Amino acid sequence: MISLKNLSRQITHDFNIQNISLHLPANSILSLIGKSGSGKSTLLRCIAGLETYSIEHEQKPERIGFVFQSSNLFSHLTLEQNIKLALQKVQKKDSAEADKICNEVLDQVKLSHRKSYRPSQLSGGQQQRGAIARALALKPQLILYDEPTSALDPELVDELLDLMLDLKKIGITQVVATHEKSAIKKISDYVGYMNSGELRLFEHFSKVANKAKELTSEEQKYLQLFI
Amino acid sequence: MKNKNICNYLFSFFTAITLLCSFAEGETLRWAADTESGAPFVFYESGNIQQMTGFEYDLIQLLAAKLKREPVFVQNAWDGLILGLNNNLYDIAINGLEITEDRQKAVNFSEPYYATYLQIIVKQGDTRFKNLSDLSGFKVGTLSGALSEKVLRAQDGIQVLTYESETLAHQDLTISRSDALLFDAPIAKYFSEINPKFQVLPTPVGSITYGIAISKKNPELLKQINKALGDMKESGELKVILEKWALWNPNTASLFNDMSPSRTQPVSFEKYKDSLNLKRSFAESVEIYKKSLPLLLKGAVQTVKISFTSMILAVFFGLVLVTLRLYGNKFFQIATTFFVEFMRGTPLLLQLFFIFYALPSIGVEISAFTAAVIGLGLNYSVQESEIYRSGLQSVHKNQIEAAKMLGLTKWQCFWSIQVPQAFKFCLPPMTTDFIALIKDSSLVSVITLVELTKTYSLLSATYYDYVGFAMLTALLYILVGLPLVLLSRYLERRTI
Repeated sequence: MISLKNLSRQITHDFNIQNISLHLPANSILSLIGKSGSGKSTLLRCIAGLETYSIEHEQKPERIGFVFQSSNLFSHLTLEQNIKLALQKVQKKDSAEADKICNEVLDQVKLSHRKSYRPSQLSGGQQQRGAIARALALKPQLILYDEPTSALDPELVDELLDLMLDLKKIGITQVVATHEKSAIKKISDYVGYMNSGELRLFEHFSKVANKAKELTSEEQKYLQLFI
Repeated sequence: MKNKNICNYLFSFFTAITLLCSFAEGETLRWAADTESGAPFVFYESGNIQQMTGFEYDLIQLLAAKLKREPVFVQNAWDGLILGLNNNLYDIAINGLEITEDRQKAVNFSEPYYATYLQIIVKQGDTRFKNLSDLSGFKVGTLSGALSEKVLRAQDGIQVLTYESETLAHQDLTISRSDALLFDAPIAKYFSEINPKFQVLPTPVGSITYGIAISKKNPELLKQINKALGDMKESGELKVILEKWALWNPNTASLFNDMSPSRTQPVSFEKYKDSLNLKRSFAESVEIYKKSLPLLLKGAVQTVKISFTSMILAVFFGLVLVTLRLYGNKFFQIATTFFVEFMRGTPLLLQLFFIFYALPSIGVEISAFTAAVIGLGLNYSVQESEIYRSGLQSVHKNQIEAAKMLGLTKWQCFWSIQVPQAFKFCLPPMTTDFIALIKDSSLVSVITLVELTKTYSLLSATYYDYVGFAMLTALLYILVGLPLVLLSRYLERRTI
């Protein structure tokens, strides 16, 4: 569950996101679309706490995972070490328990056989799944993805989307900034369209067409790309 | 073996400290000279690097016997001989030190033990010059820091070239890089006269006297030495030494007020001349290299000790610097930036001189080894810190943010993520930096340490073999640096 009221962030003078309000129930998936520079990433980073922002009211889970576009996994550690690092250093779990959790999450993302590989030895899709596994190990209630598929080959995209749907089933709320048409159709419960720092929220993508009349022609043109 | 080395190392370290502490009171007479300045002063016998000789060497042996003290030789660069006295690195310095007003401001001089003059040296057959004033408008070489340099500088229109050694000065005259040389008569006799390529002009230039330099803090020793020197003049013992080296001249005769006829054959001078005429076969050269190897290895060991100790300091202090610079508060950031710019912007040589010679004047006395390690270590810590800084800054932003999202603290992120990843970026420039440090360690010869390059200078000047020893020395430097290169390659492979 996540609820924001009037979130704003001023970045220097030329760009900001402003007055963003949002309410997502648990285990739903929100896809954020919009042109580059429209503020998708900034919104994600504000929710994650990586940026400072002002807000009137907010309610968000304590444990949040973040999956970046690339270079997620610590490049000097094996997949297993990546996952166990925070378990041991932050959550102070003993080695046996960390092992157990590590095996579970690797099973979940189907990467058990790549446990001792370094990130450079994994494919792009495996790296993204590895990053998700690492986030999962900390039992997050919300996972944020910043264009997770943009560096992936098309056939790997589906793999990742299936995984996201699996996570939905276990009750994890997810927000994903993306340009991927199939992603939006396949997984979204909500679609957020961002334009110049403002958010317009639609319930499911099928509703977009109905509301098209309210939109400017430029917005309609962009949204057409996804229908 | 390893333990033994460490013991040796510690032992020499402590001896150095004890030497520094025993302030002239012991039974030793610590005397300093630069053997590289060569014949006829203090030098190693040609063909026998273990045996020191020279007229001043003979004089010191006699003097020490008169004072009933054990002579202990301390090598120091000629330029630093006076400085070292004031730092109590040794009791006396003797090495053709002309008694001048300037020097007398810094140290006491004994009564002169030799009087002589300067002479102009030209290429054989060159008739352009008769005396000093003829040299105006020409390039004239001499030893840096010697009285002759002052004389040349006082003469209008002379372009003065200064050298660290007589041999190099003569080499440049041979190939016409200079037009003439101006040297003390003993040098002219031992380097120029005996070589048919050169011609020594008979006209004496000025007059000079040599004295033994003693710290002003030690007036008692000055008295004792003057008394002993007086005895040696009186008894004719000093004259015998000077005659053996063919150095007795009218100036000294009138200085000693000794007009008695010559009694001693110039045996030492003849022996020296004979040693020069040796044309060595290849096999003989190899024999000499073999014989010199222990000495070169000793120099190499000193180089390794200095370099590696400095490296440890550089790495440690470099880490401190970069941490303060990147993560410290405003004060530390400014302070470290200033320190980095200062150390990077000033020559290492100057820093070494400062640490070794200037610090003692404000009460901080340190051994030459410690000074070398501090100088090299601090200087390179600055370069190291800049390497670390660039390494840390090339860690991908996502990696740091990912760590933050996982809940790692700043400190955990620094040690678990940034440092290991930066290490990979830093390895190649660190290796280059350390190899440079090994080579720069040759600079510490200016503060009395005899390391590999200094050993090379001594050996090549002793055997008149500049090429062979240079190759041997180069080989040793590469061997010293090789383990570092291999280690770095190995680590690079491991941290893909």
